[in-house]
Amino acid sequence: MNILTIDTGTTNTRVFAWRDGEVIAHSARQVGVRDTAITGSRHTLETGVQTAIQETLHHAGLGTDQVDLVLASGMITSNMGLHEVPHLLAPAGMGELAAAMVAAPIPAIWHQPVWLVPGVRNRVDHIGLHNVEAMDMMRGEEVESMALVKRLNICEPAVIVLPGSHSKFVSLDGAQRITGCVTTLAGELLQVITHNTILASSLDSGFADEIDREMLLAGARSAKQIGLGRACFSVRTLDQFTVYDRNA
Amino acid sequence: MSPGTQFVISGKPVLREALALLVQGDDFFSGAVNVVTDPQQTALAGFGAIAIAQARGLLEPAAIQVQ
Repeated sequence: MNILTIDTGTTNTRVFAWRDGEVIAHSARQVGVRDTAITGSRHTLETGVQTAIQETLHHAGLGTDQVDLVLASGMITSNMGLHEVPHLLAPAGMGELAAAMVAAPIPAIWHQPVWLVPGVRNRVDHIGLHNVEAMDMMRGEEVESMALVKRLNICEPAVIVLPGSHSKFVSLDGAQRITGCVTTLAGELLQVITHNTILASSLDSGFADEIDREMLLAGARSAKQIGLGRACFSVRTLDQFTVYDRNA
Repeated sequence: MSPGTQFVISGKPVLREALALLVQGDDFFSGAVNVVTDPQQTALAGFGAIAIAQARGLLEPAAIQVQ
């Protein structure tokens, strides 16, 4: 059985061809829903996804008539994607996600309906300043979480950490259902701080090559006590007046 | 979330190491910290989508295997 999986994020799309559970080819394009937000049109996203599909089929030596199933997840189901599917309310596990899948016609990328996996959002009603901290949502991390549940045989309550531009902390209950998530801008902040602030000089515009445990914990403690902005400036102070460098 | 909740940490190697150290150094959490290996996080989204499609009944069980 030949399957194509499409994973569209904010800035990237990855397509994999699978046969009998094994990856046989893949392709990636730097296109995502950010292009829709910037241009106000889905054309760039449609073209990028279609190109990634054709490249993957070419690498796999497959014709379109040899693909049995096309699955898609991530921001492709958002309002800036190619077919919007509402978030599923947590708690949601494998069964709930499976039941909520949608077969959608997206002729710009495939001649048959594409099966879409919805995202998941925290169960919070009447969102305002008083409870916004409790609200969060994901599109794409739910399939990654279910993959880790299956691959690692997770059978107890867990927090799955998925670092990225928007880092996710996904909470699972004992029934392997997603009960909610917390998202941070950690990845984007790290990128900006490293490359686009005065710290770029102290850090050689790069992340540490290796972790110094003492410095890592000191930094975390500092950010907790005096705030991220002040803790970040301490990096420049240490660079100016001590022997510490990017790797501590 | 209880203190004994286990953590499963994915991502790039240096980030995985840093996050694991932060969780292990946290006063509240005392559960197991499992750091995902590169092979375990290969093609994660596609693998998960196929597992969910299988639960939906869209493919036969042999089309996916636990790796």
